[in-house]
Formats: sequence, C-alpha cells, structure tokens
Amino acid sequence: MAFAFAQFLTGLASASWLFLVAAGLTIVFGVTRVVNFAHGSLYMLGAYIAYSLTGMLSLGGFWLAVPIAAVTVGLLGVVLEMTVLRRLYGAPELFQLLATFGVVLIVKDVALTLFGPVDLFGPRAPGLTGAVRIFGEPIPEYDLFMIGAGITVLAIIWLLFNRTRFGILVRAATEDAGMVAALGVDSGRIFTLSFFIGSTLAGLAGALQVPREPVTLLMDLNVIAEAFVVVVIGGMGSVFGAFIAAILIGQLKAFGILVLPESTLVVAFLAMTVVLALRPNGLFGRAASGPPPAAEIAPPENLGRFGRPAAIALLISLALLPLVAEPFILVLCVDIMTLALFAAGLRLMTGPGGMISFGHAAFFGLGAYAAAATAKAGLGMVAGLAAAPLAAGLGAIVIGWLCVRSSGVYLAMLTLAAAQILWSAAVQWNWLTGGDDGVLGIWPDRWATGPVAYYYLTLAVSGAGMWLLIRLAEAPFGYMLRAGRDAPARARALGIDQRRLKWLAFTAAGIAAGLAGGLAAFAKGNVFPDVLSIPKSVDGLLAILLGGLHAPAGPVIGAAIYAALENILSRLDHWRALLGLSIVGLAVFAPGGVGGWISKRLRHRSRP
Amino acid sequence: MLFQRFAATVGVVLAISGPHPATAAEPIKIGEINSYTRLPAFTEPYRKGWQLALDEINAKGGVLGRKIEMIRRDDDGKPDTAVKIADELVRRDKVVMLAGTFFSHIGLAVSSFAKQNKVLFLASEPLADSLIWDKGNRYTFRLRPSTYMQAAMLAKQAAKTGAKKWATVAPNYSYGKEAVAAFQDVLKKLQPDVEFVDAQWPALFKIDAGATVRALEAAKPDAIYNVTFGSDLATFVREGNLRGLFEKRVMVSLLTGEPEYLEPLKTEAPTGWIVTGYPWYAIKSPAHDKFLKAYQARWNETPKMGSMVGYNTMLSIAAVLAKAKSTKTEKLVDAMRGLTLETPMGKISYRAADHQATMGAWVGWTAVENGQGFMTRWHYVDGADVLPSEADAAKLRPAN
Amino acid sequence: MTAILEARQLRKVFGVTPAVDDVDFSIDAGTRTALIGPNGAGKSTLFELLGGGLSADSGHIAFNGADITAWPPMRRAQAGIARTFQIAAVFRSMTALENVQTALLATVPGGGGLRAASSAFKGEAEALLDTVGIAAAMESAVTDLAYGDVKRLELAMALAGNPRLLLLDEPTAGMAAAERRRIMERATGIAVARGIALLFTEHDMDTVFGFADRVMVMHEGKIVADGAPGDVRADPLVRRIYLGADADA
Repeated sequence: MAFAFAQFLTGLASASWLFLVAAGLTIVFGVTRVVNFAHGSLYMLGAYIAYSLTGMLSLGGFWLAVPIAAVTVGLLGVVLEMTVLRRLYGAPELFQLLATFGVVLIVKDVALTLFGPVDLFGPRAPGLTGAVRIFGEPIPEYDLFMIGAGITVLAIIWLLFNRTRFGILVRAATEDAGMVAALGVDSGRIFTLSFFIGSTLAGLAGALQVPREPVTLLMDLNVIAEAFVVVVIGGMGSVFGAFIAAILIGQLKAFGILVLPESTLVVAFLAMTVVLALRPNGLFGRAASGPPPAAEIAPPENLGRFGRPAAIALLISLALLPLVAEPFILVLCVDIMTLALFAAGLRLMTGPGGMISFGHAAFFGLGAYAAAATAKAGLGMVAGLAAAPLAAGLGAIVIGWLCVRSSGVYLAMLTLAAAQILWSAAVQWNWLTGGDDGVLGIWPDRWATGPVAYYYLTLAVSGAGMWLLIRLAEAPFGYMLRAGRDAPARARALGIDQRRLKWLAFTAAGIAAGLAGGLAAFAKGNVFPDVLSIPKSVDGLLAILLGGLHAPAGPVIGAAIYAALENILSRLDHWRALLGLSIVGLAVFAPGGVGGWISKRLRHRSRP
Repeated sequence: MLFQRFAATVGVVLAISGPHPATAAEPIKIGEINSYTRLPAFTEPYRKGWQLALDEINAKGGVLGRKIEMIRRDDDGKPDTAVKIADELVRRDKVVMLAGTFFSHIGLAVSSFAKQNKVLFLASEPLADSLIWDKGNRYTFRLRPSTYMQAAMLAKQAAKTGAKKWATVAPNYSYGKEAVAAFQDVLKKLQPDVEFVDAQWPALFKIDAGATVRALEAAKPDAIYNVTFGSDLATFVREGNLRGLFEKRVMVSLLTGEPEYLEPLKTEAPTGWIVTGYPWYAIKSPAHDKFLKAYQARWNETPKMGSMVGYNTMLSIAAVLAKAKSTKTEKLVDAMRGLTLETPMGKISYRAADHQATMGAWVGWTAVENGQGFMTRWHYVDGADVLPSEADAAKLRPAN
Repeated sequence: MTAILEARQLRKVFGVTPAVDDVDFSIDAGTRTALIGPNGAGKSTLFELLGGGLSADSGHIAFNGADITAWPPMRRAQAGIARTFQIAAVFRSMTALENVQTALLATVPGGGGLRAASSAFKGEAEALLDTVGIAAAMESAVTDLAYGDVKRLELAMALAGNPRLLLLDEPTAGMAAAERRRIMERATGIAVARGIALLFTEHDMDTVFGFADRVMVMHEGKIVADGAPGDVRADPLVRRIYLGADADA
C-alpha cells in the first residue's frame, strides 16, 4: 500500500512535468490552430538556458535561473511567432508542421553551437536535495515540489483565462477568431500573446527539468512526441484536458513499468489510440469547427503533354546509367528511387486524398521489418519483397480504418501515434525486432547482388510502383478522391463514398511505402528502428513538398532534389540549420514545390 | 534518411572529377566511424587519443614509407548511418580498412557490412561479445575488453560479497543484454545459489530513472548490477541517491570507474561501488607515464578511457600495416591474427582464434574526495586472464 | 401523377427552436415546386434533411417508395436525388469538363479501373455542358469561371446521375435579372424534357412565379401555404408574413 502510494506520487511528479510541457502546446494550438513541432525545442532551450544561468548566477542560483529562462524562452517564442508562424496561419496543416519541424532543426544546430554536444548535468535544486519519508517510503522533495508546480500552473492558467480580459478574449478567439476581429480586437496581438504564454510554459518545464535529467540535444524530439500524446488525449486546445491526460499518462507509466518493464515507450501511444478510437476529438476536445483550411486551391494535376515524353526520357537515361556511373552513384540512385516510391504513395494520400500523414514511416518500417523477417526465415529476397507490401498493406488497412474517420490535424496525430507505437515496439521488443540492434545480414539473392543488379531491380520495382500510383491518380479513383477533398458535400451529393476512397488511398500509400521499405532493407542489408521514426516520415513529406504536392511527377523530382540539397548542405558545418532554413523557406514562400512551379510554367505555355 | 544519406552524395562530385590513381607518395587512407555528436564525452577524448598517436607515427615517417590519413566520419549514433558511411568510405574514398564505432549495435552493423564486402574492420570500443563470438567473422577484430571479460572481472569481486539476491539494470540493446547475460553466467558459476530477482531494461538514453529506481526498490535485492552509462547513469545515480536505493546494497557497475562517466557526477559520484574503469591518476608505469605526459602536453587536459582506446586503436592500425607490408584486405586480416604490440597498458595481442585483443581493464572501488569521484583499491586485470582459452573461444564462433 | 417524394411529420430541432416543425408534403414526378419563405423559415434545414446532410429528429422521408430517412447523402444520390448548393460547390482543382466527367464517373459502380479518367464519358460530359450552356468554357479551370457559369456547371453535375428529383438551393442567388431568367429557363427546360421533379428554394419572386407550377411557403418551420402560384400569391396569410416584407416582388 505504502509502495503503491509512493509509486502514485512518482507518477504524479512526472505527470506534472508533462502537463507543463503540454499546457503550452495546447494553448498555442487552441488559439492559433498551429501544431507547433518546435515546442519541444523551446522546452530544450529552457533547460539549456536555466543550466547556464545556474552556473553564472552566484546569487539566487537555480531558483532565479528558472523564471529568467522561462521568460527568455517566452520571448524567443514571440520572435518565432512573428517571423515564421504568422505567415502560416492560413496555410494547410502540412506546411505548418513542416515549417515548425524546420525550426526544430535550426534550434538544434544553434543549441549545439552555443552549448556544445556534451550532456550537461545540472546540480540538484537548492533546498530540495533530499527525500522525505511518506509511509516509510522515500519521496524526493523535488518530486513534491513538481506536483505543486503543476497544480499551481493549472490554477494560474484558469485564473488568467477566466478572470482577465485577455483570457476571455483568448477563449473567444479559440471559439471564433473572426468574431473577435469583428469586435475590433487585434487578433494578431492575441496570437502573439498566447504564443508568449505557451513558450514561457515550455521554457519553464525545461528549466524545472534540469535537476532531474541531463540537458541534451535529444530533449526536443524526446519530449514533443509525448507532449502531443497528452494534448491529443486531452483534446486539442483544452488545458484541463491536458492536465487529466498528463495524470493518466504519468500513472500508466509509473505502474506500467512494474508490470511490463519493456513497454514504457509504447504505453502512452497505445493510450492515445484507445482514447481517440472512442472519442475522436480527445477527452475534452470539440470537433474542429468548419472545414479544414483547404482554402488553398489545389492546382489541376496531370502530367501534361510534356509528361509522357519526359517520363520515357528519364526511364531510358536511368536504364543506361550503369554504363557510365560508378557503383556508389548507383547506390545513391537506389536510395533516391526508394525514397521516390515512398513519397509517391504519400503524395497520393496527401495531395489528391487531402490526408496529412505524419507517421508514414510506419508502413515503410513495416515493409522493411517484414522483408527482414522473411529473409531471416530463409525464404529469400523475392518472398521478402512480396511480404513487405503485404505486411504494410495489412497494417495500412487497420491503421487506415482508424485514421480516415478523422481529418486534418487529428488524422496527422493519429498517424504519428501509429508510427510511434510501432517505433516503440521495435525499440523495446527485442524478441521480435532485435530492438536497437536491428536485424542484420539481409542481403539480396545472388542474382540481384552487386550495385548494378540491384539498381536494375530497384528501377524495375519502384518504376512499376510509381507508374501504378500515377495511373491511380489519373484514373476515376484519383478524380473522385480529389472530388472528396475539394468539396466533400458536393462529392457526397454525387454518391461518392469518400471514406472508402480515402481508406483505399491510405492503403495504397501504405503498400507503396512497404515496398519501398523492403527495397531499402535489401539495399542496405539491415533494418533498424529508425525506419519507423519521425525523421523518416519527414523525409517523405519533404520530398513531396520539394517536388510539389499536386504534381504527379513531384515525388521523383522531390527525391532527387532532396538528395542534391543534402549533398550541398551536408558538407557545410551547420547543415542542420541550413536544411531547417530551407524547409521553412519552402513552406513559407514556395508551397507549390519545384514540380508545382514547372507544371505551372508548362501550363501557361501550353495554353492557346 | 537525410541525416544518413548526405555522406553518400558527397561522392557524386568526386566521381565526376574522376578517380585518382594511387601513387607511392599518397597517404594510406583509413576510414574511421564513430558517434562523435551522440556521445562526445567518450568519443572526443577517443579522437584526441588517436590523433596523438597518428601525429607521432606520421612524424616518424608513417608506415611502409607512406603517411597515414584518417578519414573521420560521424555516424550520429545511428547504425544505418554508420553502414551508409562505411559503404562510402570503402567505395568512394577507397580506404584500406575501417576502424572505430562506439555503440555495440553500430559495431555489429558495421561488422556485418565488413563481412559482406570483405573489408577489415577494427572495432575499437563496442563491447558486445557477439561481435567476435557468435556473430564473429573473418574481417572483424576488437580492441577493448568485451562485456564478458569485464563482467567476469566484476563477477569475481561480486562473488566475494556474498550477496544472494541480485537485480540488474541495463540499456535495452546488445551491449546491455550481453553485459547482463555474461555477468549472470559467470556469477552463477562462481556462486550457484545466487538469485536474479529483477531486471530493468530502460531504452538507451531514455531512462525513466524515477520509475526504474522504484521498480528496483520494489524487488528488494541485496545487490544491483548496473550497466547504464552516460546520461542514463547520471540520472539513475541521482534518483537512486535520493530514494536511498544504494543504501546498504552491494553495487556492481560496468565502466562507471571510467573518468568520462565518473567525473560528470561530481559530488554525487557513488562510493563503494565495484567498478571497471581507468585510474589514470594513480597508474605508475614508464609506458603509461610517457603517454600521460604526451597527452596532457598535446591537449592540455587529463586523459579519459576513450583517449587510451583511441591511442591503442591507432597503434594497432600502424602495427598491422607494418606487419602485413601491404594494404590488401586479405593480407591485413592475416596479419591481424596474432598481431602483438606494445601499448601504454603493456603488451597486447589480437588472438587468432576469436579476434579479441587481450587489452585488460582496471577493477576497483569508487570513492569521493574533494567533490570528485575516483577509483581506489584498484588492480589491473589482463584480458588474457579472463578470456576463455583460444580453443574454447573458437567454438563460440560461426563456422565460416 | 405519382408522388416521388413524401415527407411525413418531419422535425428537426436546434437547441430548443424547431427549425423544421412536423412538416408534411409530397412532390409528384415531373413537377416544379418552389419552396419560399423569409430567412430563417427553415428552408435550408428542410433541404438538408431531404439531401441527407442533416438527419431528422423524427418523421420519415420516402423516395420512390423506399424509406430513405436514415440513408446517408451518398446513398440518396445513388437512388436518384440530385442537388445543388446555395454556395455552388464544385471541384476547384479541375476544369469544367473534368468536373462533369467526375460526376458521371461517380455513377459507375467500382469506378472504372485504371483507365485514364480524362477520356471517360467525354461525349456525355460535353453534351451536359452544352445542355446548361457553357460548352465553350469546358476546358477552363473552374476557378476562372464566372459565378453564373459555376452555378450552371453545378447544375450539369447534378444532372449527370440522371436524377428523378433535383433539389436546387437558391439556384439564382447573386445573379443579375437576365442571368436568372436564362438559368431558370435552362433548368426547368431540362427538368421538363427529362421528367425530373424539381424542388427549389428562391428569394426572387419573379423567378418563383415565372417557373414554378406549385409554391410551398414556409414560416417558422411549418408549411403555411401550398398550392398553385396564383392561389399562394393571393393568400392573405402569405401576403402578411412574407410578401409584405418583399412588396416589390
């Protein structure tokens, strides 16, 4: 009993911390409707700044460093809002997500430059270095302080939102930004202010974590996935919901570790999936009002009269490439082709389908692991390459069924959750996946061994896959899919079964990703949990963003440019920051991508 | 992945400019892969170690009349990146051999690559036993004492404590798993009545220390065997201290005596833990003195375990080149088998039977003085003394 | 004449206010019925109940003899109910022709495999565009079309499924008088030629009395008058609650 109570308090302390992070994220979302990936980076900066200040301030030390760090991060958040996010309020969620992910990369590089790569382990909080005995069990004083801090912040937010003019305006803006503007209130100011509050909370959470864990460059993505879970379970925009969700997750982890020590990472995402399956808008969330901001007008999509000759020319030159290229160029091309196939499927669901997936790596990874398992079972490469799309397709049917019931950000978060569940399972369930060790020694059959043979195999398989996907987009299926995206009510009134079409598109995208994963597995000879990670999903999204979301040739162009971009940037010292800047720039200034730009030019010229 | 592919693309430009025929004056290229940004605490001193040795060797004219050039690459702590880089180093940079890696799963991944592509790989740091035993191959050799060797050293001391109920905490990947398995194996042989009552497997660098400490406490063991390191260790020690986990318990801990992990703990460094490590401050031998002076003069800081590993890696590379009198892979592999060289730690040799070097480790107890953790009552254990015989070890390896 | 659509005791309440309050009516095949009433009378809600965008709290809707009360919009469309929206809803990423082609493709079970949609039903689509009078603009992106032409396009799309009943929600909203007349002539002409029952809401009284053969008047969720245009125009109740506000009509 005493033990369970102590465990409960441990869970409550980590819940408090989770709540502090998630509260800021949910406030920002509630007001601005922006899903801010960079929230984790702000949290990380809070920790770094508090650590550095603690060392510098002789007077006050840690306790003075915490508020200074929090406010500093709050101001940095304001800068972020005014320079980047303000330009993205009307943009589709995909661009917001990618742009804030670009900010993540920039901040990581800045932090690396300013604070160095070494983990920084801060001192314990002055005055709270010991433990008190509660029912005989030692409870760290700092844990009790954290519990108090969480409740205090909840109370302050409640007072702020219910007892001040600003808070009431924020709540009104959450309900209807247009109405607030009609009242003559500058909604831009409200957005900026709520960003300040959200960022300050992120900084506070980071600063308060310094006595508990080392400050590292991995804090940003480690925390953001979990914060998303809390926000989504609670209902996006609901601070109280985040509080309840944080307690739920904190306790699940505290007691889960006793029962299933190898499932600590999975638990949070499983809980989120269960909650969303029962309540698609989270515990305290409301349905997103109005249609998703598909306010952008998707351009027409077809290859145009230049498309077919260009595709044939590309195929011929790729077929002849091995005659002139060095092996490592062929290896690079294999990478580009698998990425292009992965992105092509993703484009079908994101472009014509209008569904944003932030976890498409789930299917790439399923394919890769299925190929690996088949090969390890001694069934050979061909069976492996067949198993890959099969497993990914089955996964996509199941996950897709759950996801297509939602739309917009909720759908993106559900896909993210699905990928994170699979990733956590891959990391922690060694018996199945080899964990971090991965699966090694998955090599092609003898006839396909060697850069040239495998290059031709990849060209044939991914070429066929991409041809099918382009056909699908140009077939009645693609037209009706776009119909559902452009005008859902119109499509329904024509008798189009959108949910089924979306589900099919989701599955097709999953199959393509799985096939790409299988090809990649045999190309590299190994599979690691990273194939399921957030950056892998971002790879695919970036390729289609670069190539153009609404250009059928986009994935190929995007994958190739992505490789070129890497080539140029990666040789520079601050390639992360430069890549991040490129992503932000693209999302803000060139949302049509290169493919979109080309097809626009061609269309103008082909017009009479 | 972007973060992994970038290296490959660098090759395009070089390829277009055409391959350069190697001439006698050209340096011998060695490909070196390590987790420089993921675990700088170890890999930075490691880099300084091999850099020091490299400069010494090249100052004397290099080997085989050619200078040695190290092409250093960062794997970002990701095994697929490491394999990617290995591929580039071999195909594009035309290195004669690969060296380095820190994490065991990365070492295993590169080893698998080395086997497939028939290129020599000297794994300097990864400790997993499988690297040279059940997943061993002709092309992979290892410098550092393995998890089995270090666990055996620790188990010998652990058995003397008489503790019966043990719990373990280790990162959830090959190194952690094999370190626990080896320790259990050896301890049970020495003391058949021990009982392992709990095993915690936090994900690498993602430990939920509070909950882990509580779970260990719940099992009420007499003793705990710890394999966590780096930031996981720091959080674990802090939470454990806070919650009294280490009070009246025997603590046995792998690598914790190494300065890179012990120093950051400052005043919180544990006392009385049985550890493996590197008490550079107390070792008295002419060879070590020379290394210590040179290192401090060059870098103006004290050496870490990584420094020693990096230094010995470079010495091994030079030695094998000199012995093989060639840069051809098969000749190098033959030369590696049974290669013997002098290091600041004494003479070491790479066993022909299982490709494991006989480099040893220091075993001792942790203590704290002037706000700084250090090792006391230590002794050096030669690797050869804790390894199974070459005949037995050969049986642990796959047939090829 | 047989009733193609029957609404019985149809009711929909928002909060505490009934937007549609126990409405009963039926529509005969091939007729042209106008549904009029002041803003907030419940016309749009009733339209959504018929189209399936909203589900009724109580009551029944029968179409062609089948009880469709619980059917989703998709199924109603497949059964032969077509509609247009108050704010024309078309597929903005497509040309006018592609819009109609898509509408035609939606009538094919299974969609039609992998063959290119751009060549499917081209003749039929062109004919439909011709019917509504915008054949000249068929290659234009719909974003380039004038609003009146978008309305015509939507009409062509609605006709694609060969409906038995066509619901037009303010088909002439936002148009000049001459344009109104032209589009209503088209719509009613097609309806008569194809034997489609027409039910439309409309604010412009010239349009209502010029093109309907029956007028239903809604007020506060109820149908308060129903009959031939001349009778309804003469109904004193209608004059007081509705036409009075629109004296110029």
